[in-house]
Amino acid sequence: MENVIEIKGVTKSYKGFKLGEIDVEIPMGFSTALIGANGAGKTTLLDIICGITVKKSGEIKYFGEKTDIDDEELKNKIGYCSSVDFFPDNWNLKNVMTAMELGFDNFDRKRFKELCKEFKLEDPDAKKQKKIAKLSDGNKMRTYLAAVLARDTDVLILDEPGSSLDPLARDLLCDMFREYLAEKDGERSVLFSTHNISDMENATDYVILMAAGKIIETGFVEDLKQKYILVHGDAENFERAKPFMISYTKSRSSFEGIALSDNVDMLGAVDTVLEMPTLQQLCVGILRKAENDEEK
Amino acid sequence: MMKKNNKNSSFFRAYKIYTGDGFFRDVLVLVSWVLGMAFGFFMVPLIAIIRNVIEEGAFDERSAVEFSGASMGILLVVVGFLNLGLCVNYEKKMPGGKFFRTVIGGFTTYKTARYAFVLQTIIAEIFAELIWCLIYGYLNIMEDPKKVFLAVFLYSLFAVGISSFAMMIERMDIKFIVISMLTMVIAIICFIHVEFLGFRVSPLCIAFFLLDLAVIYAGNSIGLSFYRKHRWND
Repeated sequence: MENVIEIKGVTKSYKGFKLGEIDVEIPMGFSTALIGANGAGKTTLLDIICGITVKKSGEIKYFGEKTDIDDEELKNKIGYCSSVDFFPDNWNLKNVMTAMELGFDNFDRKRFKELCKEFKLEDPDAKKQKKIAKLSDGNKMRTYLAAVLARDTDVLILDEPGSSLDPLARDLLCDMFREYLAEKDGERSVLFSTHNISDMENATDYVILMAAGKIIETGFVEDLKQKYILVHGDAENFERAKPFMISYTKSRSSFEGIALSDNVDMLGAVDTVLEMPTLQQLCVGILRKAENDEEK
Repeated sequence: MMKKNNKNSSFFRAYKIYTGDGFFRDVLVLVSWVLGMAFGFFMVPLIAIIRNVIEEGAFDERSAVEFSGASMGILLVVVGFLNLGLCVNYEKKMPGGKFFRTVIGGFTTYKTARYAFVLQTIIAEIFAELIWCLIYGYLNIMEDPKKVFLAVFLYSLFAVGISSFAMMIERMDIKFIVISMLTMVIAIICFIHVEFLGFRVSPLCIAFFLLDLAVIYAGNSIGLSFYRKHRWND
């Protein structure tokens, strides 16, 4: 399997936070979700990948060959947008269009106007336009997405693209990811970060879980759903099931947790219900384990 | 429809990437702003002069001299406010900061845009000063408009250069205060030099001009180098 991005030994330190060492590969042709709680290091990692922040150590290889993020061809291939303050606040859609067209070689004006229409934004050619500062958070995000999707890129790197969008818009975005990936004979890839995977589950093929600046789990969604199992049962059976679960929540009457599928037989002996977890349940379970380990 | 960017037009291209607008259009906007502000500041003394003319029946020469001196100081201060535009560094956390770090050319594009901003500021200042001195000269209420224009031109260039060093300051509020205070000090020095120390049009002005260019170059080179090392990618 080819990788669009390979990260080896990457570290970065800020006051009170350390990222890394990060060793991870982003598979080509798939949509990868970078999932973690707030402060896990997702934005820092994405910024390092896109050359916005310089890494302290390590190497990143793009498309199997390039390592210099300032390379012009590479900058054209990568489509990045953040979820907040991506463009200057005093710009309108016309300014965005002008700057994008000059800033990259692969920006398509016509496609940008089509996307503005699809996202129910203003017409970029209209004489009177609202400045970005006056838009709602949702419309700001739609503007950023329209701009980046209007480029003919090979990889989209999006920092929390679903965070300000309503459910319909998130659904539209998931469809757009699928359309994007389907073009160029499966050589396009998407990498997006989120702390709320339930909204983006339809658009996710591969998962990278982060906690406290480290990668704690990776894998294709289907493989992870085979690797882990959702356990739930009555409170009275909790103590017998507990040793086999990697994390759990408990109430007075019941409990629910995540366990490795290897323990299916042991859990079967306890009076529990075993199910395939959703991606949301899986991520919450694994992140909870990481949090507990850090507290210890 | 996509078009490959012509790198030969990189100066205006870089400016447009950072503003989304045209270079010369923005120069006109700045000139209009400066003149509007300067005339606005000047309404009170202008009314006093006109009242004086009405009461005395003639234009008092002393008032004219005081008028032109005060107006020169105010003009320099207002023009100096243009330098506040050079405060904007597009820090990573500010709106647009991340976008600008991903465009083709990266820091090189930023550096080119920065020089475009400096040039734009200088052009706007020259036009505003020229128009101001022409109006005053035409109305015959300025003592030697050529001398005043040259003095204001040289000192405002110096202010542009000094303001460029402020790129090294990260906090906008501190940058704002520093540039404002430097501009006021330079305006006062210019006023004193013209009104009391006998500023004259002479070959020394060429040396002053060359000094201005050196300060502008140094301010931007050092400022940009510092900014790149400590804040562009940090």
